[in-house]
Amino acid sequence: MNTSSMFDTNEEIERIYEDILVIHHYKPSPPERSFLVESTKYQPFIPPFAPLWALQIKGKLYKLSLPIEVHISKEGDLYFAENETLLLSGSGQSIREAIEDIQSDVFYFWNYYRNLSPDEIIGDASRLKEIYENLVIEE
Amino acid sequence: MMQIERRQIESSLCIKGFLEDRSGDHRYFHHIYKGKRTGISTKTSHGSKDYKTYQDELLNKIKKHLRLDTKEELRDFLVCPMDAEQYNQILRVKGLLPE
Repeated sequence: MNTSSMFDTNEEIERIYEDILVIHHYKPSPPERSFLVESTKYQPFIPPFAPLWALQIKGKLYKLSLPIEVHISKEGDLYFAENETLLLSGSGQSIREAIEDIQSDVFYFWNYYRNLSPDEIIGDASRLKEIYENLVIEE
Repeated sequence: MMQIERRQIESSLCIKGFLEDRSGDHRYFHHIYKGKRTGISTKTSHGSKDYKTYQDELLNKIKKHLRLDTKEELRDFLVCPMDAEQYNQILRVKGLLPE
């Protein structure tokens, strides 16, 4: 991924950095944040892969039994967050929107597959049902 | 560059063996074969993002969801010549559906 041509302004770099923090559910202290944002300006970095450890759905946090590997990319004006194993893709005007979109997909399909009985599925649905059934930890 | 109206995409999916599920800002479409769910699903966006015309970037994602390999296959699926049985045959050849 060519990061040098991806970002036009410092504001965009700062916004992207904020989105990366959201992905990791990480809240640095103010001095730590300033240092990280400043260093990101000089070496723009967008992780090609980021682990998703939890789903934030309508203000509620759902932990995942295993992190979902999310591939982040930008095509045209859109950001994408994708997972190859689950064949999901979230999109949005920012990384944050794309991540929120794929989170809502994971949540949707978790509900979808756990409500299907084995005799209602065929082919790849069996593999996906097995993955989704143990993916989300309800609290 | 390929451009297809969202309405056309949704209509083709429903005609060619997919069942629609309206859920919030998205409409999910699930492929059905011999009355069973195959695990092949895709979605279209409604609500705030509201992409009324899908261009290459989003169409590529739908292509991947539908397990199609080429833009030509996707165009045939979405804009007509490919029927439900021809699509099922592609999935069977790939081993995604039983014979």
